[in-house]
Amino acid sequence: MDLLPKEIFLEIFKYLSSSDLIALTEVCSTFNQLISSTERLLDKIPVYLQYSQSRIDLARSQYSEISNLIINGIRFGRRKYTKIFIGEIDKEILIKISEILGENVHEVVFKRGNHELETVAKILLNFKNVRKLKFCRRSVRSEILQLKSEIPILNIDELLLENIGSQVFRVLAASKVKKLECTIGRRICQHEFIPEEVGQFLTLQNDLKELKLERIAWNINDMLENENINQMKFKLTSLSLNDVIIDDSNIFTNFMRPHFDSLKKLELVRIEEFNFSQVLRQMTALKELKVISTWLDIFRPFDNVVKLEIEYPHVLKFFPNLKELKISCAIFGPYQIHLWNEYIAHPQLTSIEIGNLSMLNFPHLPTLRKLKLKNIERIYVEVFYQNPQIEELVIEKREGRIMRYDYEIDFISSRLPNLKLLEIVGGKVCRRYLDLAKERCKKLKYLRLIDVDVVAS
Amino acid sequence: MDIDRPSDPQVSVVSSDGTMFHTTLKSILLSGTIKDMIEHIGEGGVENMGAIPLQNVDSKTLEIVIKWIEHHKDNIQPTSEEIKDKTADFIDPWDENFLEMDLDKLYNLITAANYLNIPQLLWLSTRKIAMLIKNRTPQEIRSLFNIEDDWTPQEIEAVQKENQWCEEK
Repeated sequence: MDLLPKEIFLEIFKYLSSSDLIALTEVCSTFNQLISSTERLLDKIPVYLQYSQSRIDLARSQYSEISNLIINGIRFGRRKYTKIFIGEIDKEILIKISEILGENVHEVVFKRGNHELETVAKILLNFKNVRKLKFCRRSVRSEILQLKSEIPILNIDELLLENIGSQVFRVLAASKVKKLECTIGRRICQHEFIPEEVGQFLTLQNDLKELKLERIAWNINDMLENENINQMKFKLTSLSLNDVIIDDSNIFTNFMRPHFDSLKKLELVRIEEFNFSQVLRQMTALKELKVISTWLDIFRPFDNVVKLEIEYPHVLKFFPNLKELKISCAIFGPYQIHLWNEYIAHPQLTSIEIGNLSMLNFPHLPTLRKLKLKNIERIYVEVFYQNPQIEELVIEKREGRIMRYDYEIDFISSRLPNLKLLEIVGGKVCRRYLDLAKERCKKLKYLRLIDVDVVAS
Repeated sequence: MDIDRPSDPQVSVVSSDGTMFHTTLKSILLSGTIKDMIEHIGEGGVENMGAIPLQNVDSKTLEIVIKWIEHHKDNIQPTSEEIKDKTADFIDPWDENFLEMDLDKLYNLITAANYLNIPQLLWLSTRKIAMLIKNRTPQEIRSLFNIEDDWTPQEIEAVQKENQWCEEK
């Protein structure tokens, strides 16, 4: 295998997962060196700092030996690991390791271990170059105490909090974050996650661009106070709210005001009892919008929006420049079909994903290239009559429903000569019709069958 | 020079061992390296430019490459940037069949695809080898690719010890 140059090996290795890369490091010294010295491959091999069942004994009996090994940099001397998972591990050893690995580390995940806040601060002081930081449930002990030690100054691209108390913000008070994601479930109790602490943290963030708050089990207004809002200097380009409660619309509107002209992406999922219409009306730069289970009345057109995800089609006419559209529920009665034709007729629409399509006709959409039909009970082949230019088609059947596609595949392949990709999810189809499709659609490059039963007759 | 004209003139290429192959302009333009060459010959025309010498590709490999580019000449080729983003995409059954060859040929094909700068072919062939490596033990990888075990017992033990820290238990 020495006839291949290094760069080619790197090309090959980049498709492999961490366990394969680990096996390769044991194959020969050449591979070991190659992987050990390539940062982007090491990015894929995380180090798990935790005692496993077998290591616990070792840790007890040869505790000093282990820490010597690590302290002397033998174990971590050769490879410069960049991604660290922290589990249950002794505090002293963890701090030592952080000293050894120090500036090489780009990504740190606190998985578990119930670490003290002081320890977290100490090791983050050593990981000066961390760009991505994640805290999982029960990884940090919840403490009411104030931090005594010095806190790190980090420049973090992504900060993810998953079911963890808000005390971690105290460690990060001096750091700058570009993207913040908080997913807090209802299992976290009130004294562990204090919304005011998020608000406080936000007043210190000037570089924040993306904010995602998910399942914050209580009122979002607890996080925002008018005096806080005045201190917030960041300008968001992306905001995602999922399952939050907003009860004071004035405060929320105040919070949103500075971002009206910068916000490009907005996702609203399951936000009850708050009407977004007022706020949304003022967002002039919006390009992508997702609204699910949220109260929304729209009265004016959004010319800039090119990507839209909604449940029902009735607001479609306010988005004249759409390129991509996802609708989860397109159910129409026979008397409303003309409405649908009107709604969907956007001159620039190139990609549509529709759930529950139940109608017999479909207008000609000259720019349409990609069509995905989800959760369908049967295929209304009439959809394809008008749109022979479709290049990518995905059909996904409703769960639990038995479907056979023979006639449909026959019809699709005779009507869609430009098809490049055909994907079928679920159901049954006869091989003969698949062969027929390959023969008819000369441009067909990808035929994907996922959970499809291909039968002989 | 206008290389997008509808007609598809004949082009000849010569392998390192002196064998001449004939193919069409449209096919050969899938190679970024040759595309650059042709763009630089300027006026005078593709028709009159003579055979293109390829010193780094032998005749056996060139034959395989030509078979692939002729099959794919009408398909839109992804750029190297687009390929960087994809990881486990679906493979065209024709390509899957095409790649059924012994490892020596596959190595030569990779080297040629790299030299000729055909991103899609390079992606397919390197991915093919990556698939062979997947889920195998170090010993299996060694025997598959005929690699010599050059570790001393102490060295391999140190590597294995270090690797213990890389797996979640």
